[in-house]
Amino acid sequence: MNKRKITKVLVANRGEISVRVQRTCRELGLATVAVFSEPDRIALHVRTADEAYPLPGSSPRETYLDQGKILDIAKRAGADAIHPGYGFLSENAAFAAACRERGVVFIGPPPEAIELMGEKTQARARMERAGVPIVPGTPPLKSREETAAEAARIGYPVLIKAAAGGGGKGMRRVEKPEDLAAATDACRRESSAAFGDDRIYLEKYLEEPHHIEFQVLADSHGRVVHLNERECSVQRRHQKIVEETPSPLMTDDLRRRMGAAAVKAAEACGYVNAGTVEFLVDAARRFYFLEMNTRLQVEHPVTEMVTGVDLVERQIRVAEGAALEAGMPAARGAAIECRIYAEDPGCNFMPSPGTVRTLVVPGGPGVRDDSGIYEGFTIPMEYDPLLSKLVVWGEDRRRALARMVRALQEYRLTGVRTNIRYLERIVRHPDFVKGEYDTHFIARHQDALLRPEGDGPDVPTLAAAAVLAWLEDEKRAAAPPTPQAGMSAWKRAGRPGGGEG
Amino acid sequence: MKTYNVVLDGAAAEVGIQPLSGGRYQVVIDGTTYDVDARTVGADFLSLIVDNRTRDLALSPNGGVWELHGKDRRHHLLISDGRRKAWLRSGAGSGPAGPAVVKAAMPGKIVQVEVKEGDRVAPGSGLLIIEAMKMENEIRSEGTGIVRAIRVKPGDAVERDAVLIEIDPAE
Repeated sequence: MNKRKITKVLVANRGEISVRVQRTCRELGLATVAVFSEPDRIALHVRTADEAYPLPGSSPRETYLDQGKILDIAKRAGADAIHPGYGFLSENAAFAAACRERGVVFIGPPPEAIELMGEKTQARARMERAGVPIVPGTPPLKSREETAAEAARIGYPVLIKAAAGGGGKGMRRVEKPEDLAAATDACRRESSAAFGDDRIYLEKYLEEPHHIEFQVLADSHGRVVHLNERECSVQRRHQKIVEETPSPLMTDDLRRRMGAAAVKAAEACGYVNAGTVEFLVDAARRFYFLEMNTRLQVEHPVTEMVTGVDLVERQIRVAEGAALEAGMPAARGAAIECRIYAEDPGCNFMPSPGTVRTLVVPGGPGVRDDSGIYEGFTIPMEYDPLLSKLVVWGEDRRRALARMVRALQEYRLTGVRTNIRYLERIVRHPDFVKGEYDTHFIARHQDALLRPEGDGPDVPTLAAAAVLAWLEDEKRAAAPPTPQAGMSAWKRAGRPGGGEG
Repeated sequence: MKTYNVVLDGAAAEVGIQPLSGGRYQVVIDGTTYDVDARTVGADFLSLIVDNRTRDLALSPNGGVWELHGKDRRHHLLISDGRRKAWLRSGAGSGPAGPAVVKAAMPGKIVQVEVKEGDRVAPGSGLLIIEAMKMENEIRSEGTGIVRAIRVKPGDAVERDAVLIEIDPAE
């Protein structure tokens, strides 16, 4: 591959990941180009970029998924490379190929590898041939009858998964035959909306597995290395919420064997750039290839925290044709990530779009906040409700845990409902603290994790209530009620009726 | 000394307050008088020192209820000034008389309506599926009843608090 210097990067994404990629670009002295849908005009990633170009429309399909528009903007802006982030076009082989045709560097793997690993059933077959263990499952299924027959053959419970999928989108667990048809339809709908592809397949549902993934890096000179694992077993509805490295389940021997399998998986598909090989690991520490994510992962910062490697920087260097160094830095200490969402745990985790009123971000030793929001920002309802990723590093797991609790407590985010308290309960849960958890952790401890909000009265809070009541009275006496716009919290709260009833 | 009735995290309490100078107050809680130093910080924060114990609260008004966000504590606060009744709410849903109204907890798009008028629903029965922020969420019935009216159809975009379904409660 020819070496080619990148000077200007278009980030074909939005929110926190666009901001995160831009940060590295800036450190490398590369100009940044943002794209934005109509609802995202004043999103953080637009404000931080050097240049920004509109994508007319609001739906993903007419904006961040529109390959033609994005390639045209790259040309107009003179961007010599495109970083796709995660989601959207990041695992779209046709887009990677179109970039190549237009002479724009796609900062990611070659289209052939995306295509092979993106079609999950094909990937499973290739892995099986390469000697990487896989979970029992099926090729893509067409009819309801075929799906029912295959589900019966594999044995319930089964997982319905999107063939074009990733990130848990569309995935559903089915316990009994009578639920299969409805779950299949819902999976096809979500997959079609998210990926423009409604093919589905089935996989055997493993009991109490761990979800452990390996970060790999490959260059265009044939070198493939791994940067250890990330434990991603804390999931709700198949969406990861808390990730950490090292995995509490890991042993030196298991890491050696899984790391070798991850490298083999990347080699078997001709992989170049950063990727993640996901495994399920059962209680007996048997591991099975699940899928390969041919992109940067949401949870990549935990790996960066323990290795010190900037994965986006390596992605850019590899895309320029540079060779990876022979040895990667050894991992040191422990890192944990919590995903902060605009959602209401007290109301079935309903997304809670709205305007961020107060935002105080934690700081201090070993804390990193990869955020896509700011005070006054209105979180649009069109996209994922991920607000920020809070990541901490500690000398060991115990210290990292204490630091995460401290950082979550420092985090103040009002105006929208968030899962911050819920995350705090997760990382303080005795089983999590002991490192004894698997992918059923959330479901098993739902009641303990969903304690109602409100910690009960104490003297300082009652004193605060008295002061608030007094100040409210003062405000009311001083000024007759005026329209709500522009009023401070002090005045507005005195009005019953707004908000939820 | 002025007295207020408050409801803090569901517990009713009476607090007395006498302002002194420069952000200082005397506050009476349960017959005990405390010296309180309370300062507003910006528009949305209250910093308190009570007997050298600090409490730093972000204030978030939410429809007559204050949400107080402390470091490791969260509270819900209702205030009555004596001239009005405390804005106590009768819990979720509507009163015992009229139909129960199922509202959208957020803006979104209706994907599917799973019931029709006249259907009998039980707690946990699926009513409809709403999509917001790329996720499908199923709205389930909280009680037993008969579906009286359906106000939306698949494809509709709904605002927060839009009425989706009305249900006549049944025994």
